[in-house]
Amino acid sequence: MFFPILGRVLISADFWQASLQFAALLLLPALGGLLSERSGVINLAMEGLMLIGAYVGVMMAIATHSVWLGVLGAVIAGGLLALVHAIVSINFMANQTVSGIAINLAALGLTNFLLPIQTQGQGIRALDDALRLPQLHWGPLANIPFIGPVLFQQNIIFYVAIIILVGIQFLLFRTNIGLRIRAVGEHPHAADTAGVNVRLVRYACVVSSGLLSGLAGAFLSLGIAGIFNQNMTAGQGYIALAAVIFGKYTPVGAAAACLVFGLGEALSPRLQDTGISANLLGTLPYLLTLVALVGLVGRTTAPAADGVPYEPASE
Amino acid sequence: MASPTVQRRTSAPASQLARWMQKFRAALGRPLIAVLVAFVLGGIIIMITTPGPLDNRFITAVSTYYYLIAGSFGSLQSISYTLAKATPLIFAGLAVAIAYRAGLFNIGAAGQLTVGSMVAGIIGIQLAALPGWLLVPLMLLGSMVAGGIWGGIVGVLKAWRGAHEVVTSIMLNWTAFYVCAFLVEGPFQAPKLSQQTLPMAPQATIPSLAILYNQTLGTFLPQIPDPAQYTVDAGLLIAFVAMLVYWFITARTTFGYELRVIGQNPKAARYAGISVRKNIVMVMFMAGAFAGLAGAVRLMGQAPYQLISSAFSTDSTGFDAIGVALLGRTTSIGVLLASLLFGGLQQAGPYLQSYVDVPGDIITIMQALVLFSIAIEYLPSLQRFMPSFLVKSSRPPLVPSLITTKPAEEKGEADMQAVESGHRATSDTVEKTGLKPTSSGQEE
Amino acid sequence: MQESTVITRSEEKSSPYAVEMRDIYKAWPGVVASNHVNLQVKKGEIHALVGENGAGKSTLMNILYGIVKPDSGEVLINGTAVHISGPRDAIRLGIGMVHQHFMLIPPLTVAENIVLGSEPGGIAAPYDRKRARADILALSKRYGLPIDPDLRIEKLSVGQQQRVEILKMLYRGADILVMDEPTGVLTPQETDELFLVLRDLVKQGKTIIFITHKLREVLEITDAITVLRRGQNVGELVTKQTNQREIARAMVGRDVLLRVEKTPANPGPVVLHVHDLEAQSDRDLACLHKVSLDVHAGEILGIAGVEGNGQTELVEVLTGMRKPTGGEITMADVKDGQAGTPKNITTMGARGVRVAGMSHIPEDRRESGLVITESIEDNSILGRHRWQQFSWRGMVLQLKNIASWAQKLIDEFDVRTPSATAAMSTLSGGNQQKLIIARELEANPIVLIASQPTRGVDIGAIEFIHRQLIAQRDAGKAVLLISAELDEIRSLSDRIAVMYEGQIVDIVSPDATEEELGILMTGGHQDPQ
Repeated sequence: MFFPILGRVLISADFWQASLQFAALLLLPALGGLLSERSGVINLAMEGLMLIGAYVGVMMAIATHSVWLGVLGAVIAGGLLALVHAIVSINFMANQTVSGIAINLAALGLTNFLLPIQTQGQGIRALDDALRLPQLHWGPLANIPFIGPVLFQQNIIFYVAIIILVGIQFLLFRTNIGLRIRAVGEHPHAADTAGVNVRLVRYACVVSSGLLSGLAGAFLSLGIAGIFNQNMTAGQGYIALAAVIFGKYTPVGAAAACLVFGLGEALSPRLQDTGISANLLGTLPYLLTLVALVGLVGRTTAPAADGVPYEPASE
Repeated sequence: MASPTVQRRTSAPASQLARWMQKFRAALGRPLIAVLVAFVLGGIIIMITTPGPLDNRFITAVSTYYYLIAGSFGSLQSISYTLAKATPLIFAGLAVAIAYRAGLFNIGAAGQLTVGSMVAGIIGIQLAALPGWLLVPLMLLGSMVAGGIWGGIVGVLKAWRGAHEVVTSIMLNWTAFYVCAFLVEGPFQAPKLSQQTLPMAPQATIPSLAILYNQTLGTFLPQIPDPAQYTVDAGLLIAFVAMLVYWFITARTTFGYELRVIGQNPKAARYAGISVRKNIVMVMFMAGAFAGLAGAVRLMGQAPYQLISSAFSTDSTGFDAIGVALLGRTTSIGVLLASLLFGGLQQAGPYLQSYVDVPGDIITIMQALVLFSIAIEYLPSLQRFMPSFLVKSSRPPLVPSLITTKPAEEKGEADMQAVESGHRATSDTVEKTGLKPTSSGQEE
Repeated sequence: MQESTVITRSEEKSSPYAVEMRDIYKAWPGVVASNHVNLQVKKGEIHALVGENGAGKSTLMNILYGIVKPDSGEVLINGTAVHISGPRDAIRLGIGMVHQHFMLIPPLTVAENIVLGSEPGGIAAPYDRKRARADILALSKRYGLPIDPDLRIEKLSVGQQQRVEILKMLYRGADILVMDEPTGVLTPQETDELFLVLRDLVKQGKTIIFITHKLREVLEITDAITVLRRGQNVGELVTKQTNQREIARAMVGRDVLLRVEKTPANPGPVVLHVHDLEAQSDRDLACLHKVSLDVHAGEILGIAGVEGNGQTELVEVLTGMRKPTGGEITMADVKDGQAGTPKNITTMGARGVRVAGMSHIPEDRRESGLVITESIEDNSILGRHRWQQFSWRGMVLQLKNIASWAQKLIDEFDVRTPSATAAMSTLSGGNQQKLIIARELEANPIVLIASQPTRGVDIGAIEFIHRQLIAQRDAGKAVLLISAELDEIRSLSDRIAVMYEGQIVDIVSPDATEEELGILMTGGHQDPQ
């Protein structure tokens, strides 16, 4: 019973399309988190950054009747909240883990608090198609069997995520900016004495993580779900963080990890017919991460100065 | 030439008082500032989001705080509700705090709590035939072991695979939520219901404190009238025992000593021959046990005395515990006070909507603000503007491993005073710079 | 008010100073690090900045480099008053600095480290590896500093890393080079090489500020000297017109004994026996090769060697902090001049080794020998907290006994503190070290392992520590001294074992010359140059 169903799922275009969509959703905050960690700031806040992005995206889209302004709002909101994390961790030398958790709590509190105020207690109804992020359809390419729906009938943000992935991989390892980011994450003191502005680099990276997570939030609410629900990110930001570590702090690695998690996430609802509880299947991505952390990846190597606040005058 | 002994022996009562003052400021100063900052910012948020003219907004903010206080500590009954809310927070707060002592961030209290309550529930359902005096301890023990194992896994992964505890904890949290939801909706589902187990049998519950009092001390002391209105259960007493145990472990045992060494300086632990791995596993097991108790006591002490599958992932106790432990500076009394604050907020929060038309989720924002402001190192940022006597603080940094691992290299240049050189050593060199204290007077 | 000699240097009005710092004042909370200090460095000279640890040398140079902001005072570069608010400003003004602890990023390549912050093409450009490579090769040829730009820093020796640091300054076009204790990690031969490079740089028009506390080097390489003590100027000297004694006097403010006084050793039986010891480093590479040693009661065995040749690992294995992969360590008690039965301590952990009678003064005292946030009481039992007198069955702390023990250490070693419950961080660095020494000596060990015991300690305190070590020797303890300071090894040890690449290459008498030791330290006896 189990294997025939599994087989059928694995060869269905629908399954792969959903997997890639999930993967892209995770990839954006993962890339953001990766930038932040590479620059030496631990970032657990992607969950909250996504949530605030999802919320602001929907509210802005409704208010302005434009999905694009909604996306812009989501990106800015994510960036602003990440700025809080940056200020608190970089200038005030807060414990970055605690700050990240506080961001998540604040995002949850803010969205739950503002939702009844802004909707006069009505809640949000499902968005019209005009206010949702479009699915692209690449003409003849989209009609290729299997490959068409999987690769050429995705949401626009999917393609944006791919471009950003390539861009960040290039940025990090092929540009002077990337060199500085890596230097700051490994040894901020050395970077500072070489004339690199440590705080500026860290600010830029942390805020970028907010912009990318905010975009992911918009993808979730304006693209995939078409509605905002309370706490709708439901732990995805944390999985994105796991993907960063699973991917050994490289963009391509993180993308591979996101794909694995995306497969797991798409698999579980499709195996319901096998009689296996959805709850048990729901544990798959988490167990997978644990196995990866323990067995496959081995000891992951975080940037040496990850999480260490930098005080220029500490000499 | 100053005699070295003069420096050392200050008159006892004065220094005793000064030390108390110092201790008080060190213990309560930062948490109080953190709470104050959070409340002020919370008030500002209310004023921004409330409609109407400015003075109306101000009144709304003030009355929000009035109702928060009245709703949590305004009457005996509300105090009893607050205590009931605070009880699991105490356990969970201790779970985060003890791990923190060893420099570990136990974000997994939520999952440990979930499996703890689940196992307590399973024992309560499966062994419902047992008498209460046996069943209740069994359930508590079961929850401790289950939570302990769940926490211990994190410890093992950290100790032997170097897996970061925050990440493994998050994964284990969600695993716990899903697995326990599966158990509740599957093998232990109550007949005709879909998402919950049967309620615990009466002998498998923890009695209300007021009723317990009436049945014991109340037989010769004055009875509490109408005890049913006071919902706080005897789990609070267990929480006090847990606090005592926590204090003893951390302050009086070699294990607690080793935790402190590991948490503050892992290199020193290696130097001293303290097994970091073993202690990490043990402390994570203990942390899990405390969290497991939180789940069991919640299940057994408060209505509806049953497990609900959808409640696992939405229960915020495990995450609130992080704030409780940090705000309480990982001491048992601190955890108690912080639990009362958070418990009070959670008790009064839901009523705000009907009293002042402020969504109850403002308390979530406030908790986040408390976390922010407790996490922020105000001191280094502010100390440039402060006279030096305010800066000199012997407190450990809030975050043991993160902040102290900065290379100590050059800043701690030794300046051991040659005994024979006759320089008067100043005892209050500031750790920050570690430079040689310059005696204010000229050399003789 | 100062009694030290001040020689007025002849002024050359025509050429302004390359660096002039006027009346620099900097106070940390509770400490004045720089008390109206003046510094004048002429163009094209090597200028020594000397002083004890904590005299304010590094603070002054960090002010010059923009890392530390002074409270008041003026900085002039080539006669122009400048405002330096960060390393970026300093670089722009042509100032370069080699820090005592190298500012290199281990996983990055030589080229990446050198160009970082001043990359070819500017910040927004892609990283131009070819151009960086070419630029660096040209530079290394011009200054005679050969290096492979594509190697990762973590693969380089200390001497090569220093070369990278110098290239880093030159790449940025620095004319004023600040070198903070550059010879601390070098062999005598490497030091000579460095001096050749420095002389060459001066010939090419560079100005060098050379921070050190090694007086011999001051006399050998520098042209002028500024002496600081306790954050104040105490002397401006011309190298040719002064001598070691005068500089030392200015640094310390009194005459110092430059030699250690001791009586000949009276060695007893072998107490610590090490046979064919093998171990692996943190990176799982073999780092000790068949190390064999005998340390007798009543002698100091010194281990000389350039840092990073296995000394750290040897100490860790001996003290139970690192598991050996082969070989044997035994320890025997001495009674009435006779050795007891040797106890095998090869696989004991740090705790067991202490119980067997070993004391360990660790090399990075503040980093691993103390828990700075905890009380003196807590620190006084570190490593021995499960001993019977400190805890009941090794489980429950005996607070009263701990308190009286801590008080005993404080009293007998004159640790200056308001109380035994004060946090370690409230003590001065010197008193923190005293507590460690007190703790390790009061435990009445059979074997004392002292690793870099005087590192980062000022001259007065060095005397104190040296005297303590000799007292331990004379009390019949077996003392193993590991030090990177050749002078210290030679003046204290009764025998010297030289380590090179994880091996004991020879055991020689303390009368061996510095050259002989230097050759051994670089593996010279096997492979003469």
